[in-house]
Amino acid sequence: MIEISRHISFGQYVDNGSWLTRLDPRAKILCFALAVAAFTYISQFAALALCLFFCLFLQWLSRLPLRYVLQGMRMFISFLVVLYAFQVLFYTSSTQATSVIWHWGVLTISWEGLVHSTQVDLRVIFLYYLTSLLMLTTSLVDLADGAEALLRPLRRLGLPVHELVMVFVIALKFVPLLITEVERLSIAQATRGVRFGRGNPWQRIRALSGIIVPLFMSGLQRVEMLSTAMEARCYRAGYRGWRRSKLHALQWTGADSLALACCLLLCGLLVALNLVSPF
Amino acid sequence: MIEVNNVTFRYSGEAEEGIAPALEEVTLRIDEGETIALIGHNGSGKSTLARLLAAIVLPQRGSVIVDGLRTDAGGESLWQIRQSVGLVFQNPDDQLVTNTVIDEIAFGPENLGLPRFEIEERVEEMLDLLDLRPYARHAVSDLSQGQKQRLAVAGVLAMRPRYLILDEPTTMIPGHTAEQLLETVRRLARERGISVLHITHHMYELADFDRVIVMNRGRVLLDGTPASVLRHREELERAGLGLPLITQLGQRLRARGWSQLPEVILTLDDLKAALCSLK
Repeated sequence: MIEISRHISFGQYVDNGSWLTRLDPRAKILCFALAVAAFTYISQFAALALCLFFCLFLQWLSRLPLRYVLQGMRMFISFLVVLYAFQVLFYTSSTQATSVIWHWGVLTISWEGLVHSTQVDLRVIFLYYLTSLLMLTTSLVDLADGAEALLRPLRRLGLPVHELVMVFVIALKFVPLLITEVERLSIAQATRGVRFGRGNPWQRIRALSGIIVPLFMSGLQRVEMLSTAMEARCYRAGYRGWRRSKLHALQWTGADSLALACCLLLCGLLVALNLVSPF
Repeated sequence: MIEVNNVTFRYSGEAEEGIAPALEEVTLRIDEGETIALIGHNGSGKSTLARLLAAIVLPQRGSVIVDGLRTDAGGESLWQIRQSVGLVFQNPDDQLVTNTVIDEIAFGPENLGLPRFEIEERVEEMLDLLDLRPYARHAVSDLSQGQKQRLAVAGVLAMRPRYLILDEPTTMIPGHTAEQLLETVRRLARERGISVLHITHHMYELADFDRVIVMNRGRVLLDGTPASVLRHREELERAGLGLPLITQLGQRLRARGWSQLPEVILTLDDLKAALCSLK
C-alpha cells in the first residue's frame, strides 16, 4: 500500500523523443479512439492475439522500458485478478449449456466462465495499456490541444469545448498527485498503528476511511488552489473575447497520416479476424 | 505603485460565526523596486493580503489600487492587474498546471495571447534565469520540490509582472535551496526593477529585504526597515514572533557588557564585523 506510486505510471509523461512521442496529438487521439472501439468489439482469442502483437509493436515504437510500463500496471492487474476470480465463480451463462468443472453452493467454475472472463479481462488489460501509453507519450498540453482541435466542430452546438477539455486534462493531472497523497496518508496512518489489509471486512473498511476521507478533502483543497493559481496567471476560461495563443503549433505530417492508415487497417483486420475466427 | 487604502476583508460566513475579519483597516503602500518581507503568525492575514493585492479576492471596505487601477473595477483592468502582480504559492504542486517544464513556463504567456516567437523567447529566458535548462524536457513530476518551486517562480516571471508576491514559498523546501531561491528572486528584482513581497514566518529571512511589514490579527503591527522592526522585541513576542537567533545573540552579548555592539544585528556577517571593530 505504501509504495503505490512505484506501481502506477498512469498519468505520467516521459519525453524520450520517440516516434510515438513526436506524433501529432490529433493523430494519436484518433488512433486511440479507433483502437479502443476495435478492442471493445472483439471477443475471439485470435483477434486478442493480434491485439497483443499490436501492443508489443507500440511498446517497441515508444522506446519506453517494458519493465517500467509493466510495473505501472502491476496494481491494476492485481485488482483485475481479484475481479477475475469473482467473474469466474459467479458466471452465469445465457445458453444454459455450461460445462461445469467444480460446483459448491452458489459458486461454480465452468469452461464457459473461464473463457469468457479471460477474454473480457484481456481486453480490459489491453485498453488500460493503450490509455497508459497515450498518457506516457503525450504531454497534457498536447493532449488538450489535440482534443480541443478535434472537438472544435462541437462549439457550433454551443458546447464549451475548451473548458470541458481543460477539466478533463486537469483531472488527469491529478492522478499522480492523488497517488502521492494516498502514499503520504498511508504512511501517516501506518505510523499511528493503522494496519491495512488486516482484520474482518468492517475493520478493513474503517482502516481505509482514514485515507479516503482526508484524500477527498485535500483533493477539493487542491482543486480550489489550482483554480486560484490559474486565474492569477490570467487563465480566463468563459470570458468572451479571450483567446489563448499556443507555444506548440499542431502540425499534421506524413507520419501522422501513416499512423492513422495503419491503425485503420489494423482495426479492420481485428474486426474481420473476429468474425471469421472459430476461437 | 500599489496602494492599500483602509482595507477590511472578511471571508464569507465568518461574520455569522462571530470570527474577526481576516484583514481590518489595513493601509500600506508598495513602491516600485522595493523588496518587502511580510511576516506574521498563522492567521495574521498575510495570505489574505497577498490575494487582495493580486485581485484574487476583493475588499469589502476600502480599496486596493495597482498602478492606478482599482482591483474592484472589474472588466479588463482585473486582468491587467493580474498580469502586473504575479503570485507564487506555498506548495508548487497546487499551482503547476501542466506536466512538462516548458509547457508550465509557457502557460501564463499563452494566456496573455502573446505571439509564438515571444512565448518561445520568454521560455528560453526563464530556463536560464531560474537554472532550469537541464530539466527543460523533464516531466514536472520528476522534479524535486525546490526545482518545482523555481519552476513556479519561472512560470509567474514569464508573464513579466511588475510586482512579485511570494506566499511562503520557502516553507516546503530545504534551507539552502530556499536561500538560493530567495537570492535569485532578489537579484532579478534588482536587475529588472520588480517589487517583491515575500511572505514568511521565518524571522531569519528578514535581513536581506529593504522593508519589513509585521502583521498581527489582520492589522499592520510594524512597518519599517529590518533593523527598526527588530527593535520592537516585546511587540514582536506578543504577536508570536521571536527575534532571529543572531539578533538574540547580539543582544545577550550587549547585556553581558559588550555595550558597543549595535542594538540590532541582522546577519552573522554583521556580528563578525561588529566584533572585529571592537577594540
